[in-house]
Amino acid sequence: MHIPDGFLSPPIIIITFAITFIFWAIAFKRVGGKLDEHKVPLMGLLTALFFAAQMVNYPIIGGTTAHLLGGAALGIILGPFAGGISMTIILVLQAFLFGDGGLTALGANVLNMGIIGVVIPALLVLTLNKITKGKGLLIWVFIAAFVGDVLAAIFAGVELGLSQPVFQYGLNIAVPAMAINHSVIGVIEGVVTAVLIGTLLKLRPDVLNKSSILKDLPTVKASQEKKEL
Amino acid sequence: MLNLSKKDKQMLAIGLTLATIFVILGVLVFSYSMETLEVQAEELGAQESNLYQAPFPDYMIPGFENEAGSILLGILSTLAIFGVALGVGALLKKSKFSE
Repeated sequence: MHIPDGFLSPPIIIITFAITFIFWAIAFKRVGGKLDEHKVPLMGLLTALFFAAQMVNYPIIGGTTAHLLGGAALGIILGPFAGGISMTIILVLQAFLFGDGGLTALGANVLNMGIIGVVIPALLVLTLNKITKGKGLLIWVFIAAFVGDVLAAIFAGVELGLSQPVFQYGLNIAVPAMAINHSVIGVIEGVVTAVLIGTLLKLRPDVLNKSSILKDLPTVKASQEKKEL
Repeated sequence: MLNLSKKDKQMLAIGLTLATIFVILGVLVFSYSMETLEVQAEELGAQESNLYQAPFPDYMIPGFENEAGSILLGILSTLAIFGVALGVGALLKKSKFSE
């Protein structure tokens, strides 16, 4: 879902960079000085893991390929702001070292995959868990990861659709085109994210209990107590 | 310095092994990339331009464009990103960014 150079018009480039800089300022302020000691290695590990996972391109419909984003997992495990910073590290290094995603599109790519794709799923899981008191956690994780991927694609569609005259077509074509195909990717992202959270719930519930999104959730606490027995 | 428990060290070892497996799979089996976004954007009239020449285009080492080179580059990049993220995390932990 990395937008390369040449796809976006100058106003869209400026707006997306502006939003991204505002997010970074807020994220660094929110996380700064408050990052739990145990989250530092976890942040390093998850950033490296999802960078590597993004190298795996699996085939989907119409001869095209896709890869995991990992945004939902980062947002849910590290929290929306630390998760956003983590995804930003991946996107910046991919753009500068490998030309994966354009430099002029870096603001848009961070907005789509590092903000929308991370913050929205994290907040969705937080809200759904509050409503249901944590019942059906893995279903909410699946839905949140799916929504995160599809919304990131819709945002990319909006940015492309508004980038006229670079594009011949407007929002009415660009947005549905992005959303429909990326819904397949969203399902796979949802399954993988739910499996990852489910595995951590079984093996390392203490990691999830330190997450600002899942902290003190009855399901997570019960799993941690069971593990400590 | 990081103060890691045995369980955390185990998790790091498992995670980095998994990352290495992803790199190897990504190079040997799932390397063909035709991203949906790029295909659709080009169908809709956009054209990619090369404003910047990355040092390792398409995850390859120039002059060493084979699978072994890409696996080595992928593993070294994964470790580098692990290091960068650890560094950023450590900076954030004792950060001066907060109020």
